[in-house]
Amino acid sequence: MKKVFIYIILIFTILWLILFLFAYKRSLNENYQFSADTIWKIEQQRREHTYLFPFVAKFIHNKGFYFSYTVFENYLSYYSPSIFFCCNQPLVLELVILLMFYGGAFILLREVSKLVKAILFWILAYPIFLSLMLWPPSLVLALPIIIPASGILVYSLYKEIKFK
Amino acid sequence: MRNDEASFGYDAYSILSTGRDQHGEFLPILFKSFGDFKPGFYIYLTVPFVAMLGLNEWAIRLPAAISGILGVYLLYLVVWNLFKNQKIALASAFSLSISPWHIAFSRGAWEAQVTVTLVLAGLLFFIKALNQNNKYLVFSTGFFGVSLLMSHGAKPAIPLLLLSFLPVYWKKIIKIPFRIVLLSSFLFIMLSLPIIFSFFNGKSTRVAFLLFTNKYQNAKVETIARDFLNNWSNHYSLPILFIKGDGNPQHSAADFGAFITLDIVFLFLGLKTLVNFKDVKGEAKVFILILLILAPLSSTLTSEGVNFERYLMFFILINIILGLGISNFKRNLFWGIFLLLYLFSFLLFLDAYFIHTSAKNGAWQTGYKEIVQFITPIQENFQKIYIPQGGDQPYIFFLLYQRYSPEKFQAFSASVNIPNGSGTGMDYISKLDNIEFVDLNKFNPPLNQSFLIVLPVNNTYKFEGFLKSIHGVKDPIGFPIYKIDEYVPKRL
Repeated sequence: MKKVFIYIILIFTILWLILFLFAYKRSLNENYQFSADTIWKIEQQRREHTYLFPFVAKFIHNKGFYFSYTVFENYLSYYSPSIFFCCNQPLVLELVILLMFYGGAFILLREVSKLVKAILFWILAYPIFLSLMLWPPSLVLALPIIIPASGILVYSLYKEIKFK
Repeated sequence: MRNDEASFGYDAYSILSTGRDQHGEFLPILFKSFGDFKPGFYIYLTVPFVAMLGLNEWAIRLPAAISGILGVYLLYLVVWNLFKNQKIALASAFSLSISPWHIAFSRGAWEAQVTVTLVLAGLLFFIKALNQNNKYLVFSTGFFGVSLLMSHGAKPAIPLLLLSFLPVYWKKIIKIPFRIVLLSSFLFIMLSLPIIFSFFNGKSTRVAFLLFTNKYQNAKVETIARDFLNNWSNHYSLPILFIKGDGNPQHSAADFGAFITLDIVFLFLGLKTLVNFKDVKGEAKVFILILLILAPLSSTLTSEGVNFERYLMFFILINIILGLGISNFKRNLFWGIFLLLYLFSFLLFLDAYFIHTSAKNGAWQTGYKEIVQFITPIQENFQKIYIPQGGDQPYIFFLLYQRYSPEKFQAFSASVNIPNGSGTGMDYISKLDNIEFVDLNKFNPPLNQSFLIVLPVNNTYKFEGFLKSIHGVKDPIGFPIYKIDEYVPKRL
């Protein structure tokens, strides 16, 4: 079983790397990600390296590196609570969804069953691919991770009530 | 050096020389400074350093640096007392010692940084009071009380911290002898009296200006609640905490989070460990979780949004969680690769901090030291010297770098003070001998006398045609930021 899991991760990693390269190429071609401001910022960072070898500056401050950081930033945004207040839905609804997601995440961190581990893996893995889209994260895009977490919370509450 | 640091230094110099602050008040608890009435404990801490080392950057920043080192040791003791596990305590202290926020705040004169150290001391004695000797409660409330006199951010943060003790440690607190509780409460109230009075005697203008409710006129409750929750939730934003920071390069490094980017892995592991840890007493776990929710509230109440300076207590909690994560990090197949990536991530912070942060001129008020050093020897040669007025508070750099006589400035400071000059609850100073601080957009230079004027290079002014440039001030990478021009009237 463990072997299968490692193969799945390997396949997904290769797939993600291919998609990453496509996304990076697209962002270069369409001038979508690298506006004049962004390019000036990268060049300014290189200029600020007044006393380090230029190749060090180029190694750290380049489009590829900037793009990778943007992807990672997008990924982390899916777990930030501000995502729940971005869609101008009724405030109470947004609060309930927020509490259900983080309540579910809390239970997911506590439980150790295989099903829970699989859900946790899904919640951590899903935005990896989504972050390549370079769109600002939204509640709608995050629903596939919010629903399973909320489901876990509801299931745990049901179990608690049933056993009491 | 920032203007706040310059103000701390000059006020300490003024107290040392005359026993009064720059505005002439005798041994104040709240220092008027730029009209923001800074809680003055940091200034009194700076006095002995200024006495020993003179009025310079080292003396002004050394208290925060020493406090930063003490903070690491205090966090070790706090975590050890909370979890009774040396590995977690060491890991938390290690995590704090390499955290970008801690390095940044310890290397500047930040009263918020010393507040964190005082709060850690208060927390340590509080835990000791509950578990070892009840008498430690007096020390605990003493440290919490003093921290109120240290920074604006502590005013809402400390009461919230004390409130979060109550539900968790209530059973232990009621067992403490009444006389100790009474003495501790008395000490805390006495220390917080200057802060309480400041809300009634007009010394909280800056705090009042920063309140987030100021921007709402007849707004719906739902709008205010949504903005409040949105602001609150932004304080937990992982990209802000681990990647890009709060936008102010003084608070960690330029375009860098409060923590090393790959700390996110330890955060996840730490949270998992915290909710599953069997050895942890339930109360410590609940205390950390309650504080995680409450800690950003003081920063949320301001209109500025996320500002690391205002919720450093929250970062301490994150460091404890990171410590939990580090101490439970298992060596597996990817351990070596992760370690290399983590090291690289730390090197990126060093690059951001030591190369790029110092190049962010606006954040550091770069250029004023050179301006003062250039102008001082030729100051008497001109009838007037004009300096652009603004939030940078340029006058303080002249006071600091010229070692301006405190007695002399105290004598006329009230007459040159413009209350709420910027409309942000901060005062301006209009004049210092023949130096005038002027709004360049409304300024018409008198052409019948010789003068010197400092102009930022990113703007052009209609009167520039008459002037002759005599000096240029550049930033650390060689870009011009100010030019110093002179005007000599033609003889008839």
